Amino acid sequence: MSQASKKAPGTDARLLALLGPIHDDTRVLARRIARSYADGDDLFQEAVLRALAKLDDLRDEAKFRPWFVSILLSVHRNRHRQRFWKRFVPMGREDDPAASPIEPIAPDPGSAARAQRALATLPPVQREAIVLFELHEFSIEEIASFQRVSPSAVKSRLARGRQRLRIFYQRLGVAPSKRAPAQNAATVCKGDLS
Amino acid sequence: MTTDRSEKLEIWLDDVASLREESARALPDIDDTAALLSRAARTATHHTTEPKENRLMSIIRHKPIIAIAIAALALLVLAPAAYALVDKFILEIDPDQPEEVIEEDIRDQLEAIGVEPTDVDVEKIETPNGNQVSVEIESEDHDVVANHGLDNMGVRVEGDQGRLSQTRVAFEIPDGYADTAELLTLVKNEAFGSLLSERPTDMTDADYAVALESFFADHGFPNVTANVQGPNVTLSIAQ
Repeated sequence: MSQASKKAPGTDARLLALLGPIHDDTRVLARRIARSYADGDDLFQEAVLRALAKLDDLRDEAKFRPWFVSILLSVHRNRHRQRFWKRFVPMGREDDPAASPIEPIAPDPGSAARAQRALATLPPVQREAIVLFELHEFSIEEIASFQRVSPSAVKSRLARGRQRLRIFYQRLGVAPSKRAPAQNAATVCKGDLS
Repeated sequence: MTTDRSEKLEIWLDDVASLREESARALPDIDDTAALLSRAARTATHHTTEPKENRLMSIIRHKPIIAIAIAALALLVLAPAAYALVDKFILEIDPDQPEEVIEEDIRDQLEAIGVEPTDVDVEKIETPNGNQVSVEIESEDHDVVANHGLDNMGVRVEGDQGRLSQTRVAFEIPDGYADTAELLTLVKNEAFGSLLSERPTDMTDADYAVALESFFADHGFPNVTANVQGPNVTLSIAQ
């Protein structure tokens, strides 16, 4: 019996209704933590199907948003499991993107593609932390809840992630930004997701 | 370390601002998701989900290294309490709790010793031989193995090529057993860890069982019966 066929009639409609208010924000979150928009769209769809299979476990619909974000992050990390077990095998660290040569990118500021490539060099949990904190403006505590770790672990992930981003840009020879912190961050989705 | 939102000197701020805007463009709308759910419902009968125990076997078949880690922490739960031996660290699990509660409990225990797991996945599995709790722990930390000795997570590494074998320990403890706390203290003892990790490769299962029973008898638990089948050790405690 498939996961979907075990569900009570109308489960997909219930999920769709719950997803409605956060649909766009979680979809864009998936794009940002994935290595490409196409991957992000696939990731979101996989998370939706996972949520459909587990919807009976959701006891409090008021907590749907953090519940779904946690599923999204879990699916994201599952996609990297192969990388994890390879570390048990004495094969070196050929999968470490920070150690790989960087192809030159045009040095103009404000390149979304370059940001995506920079984020792609981070381990999945660091990438998640950076995106949730810097782009979606979640609090440390909220991210800790999503990632199911302590706040100190999130702080550590942020610090290490930022450091790796700096290294990526320094190797590209990109100069530091001169402008103030992005004020438009508040227009993104923190309030909608929390 | 700073955890303020990044200030103006961060090199990557402009690019991230661009990503923020661009990633929201041409976003598939909710009708697309509705169609996905509709397709999932229509094709449900064409997809079969393997039984959970088969899924575990499937992972073992295709990913032997991770399978060892999983198997090392798979407990046969025949008693109200179960403990997984992780090198010299004991994970204590209450199998009566929901899977999510067990996962949270394990995360807390690992964080207490400085291990930052990326993912803890607990599944309760019904098998013909009884109920199993499958515990899978993963970490994205490159150095987690070296820093925390998790290469010895019930697993012994033999030889330079990293050929792995495992020692899996399950306890069968009768309901209401009065000395559970003392027993836990004993198995957290370094001497017990050494007994597991330093088993001579040429020692037979029967001899090893005797050695284990002697250890417990010497420490005030003469009611422990050891059953050893290769890497699988079951310690049964009589009332």
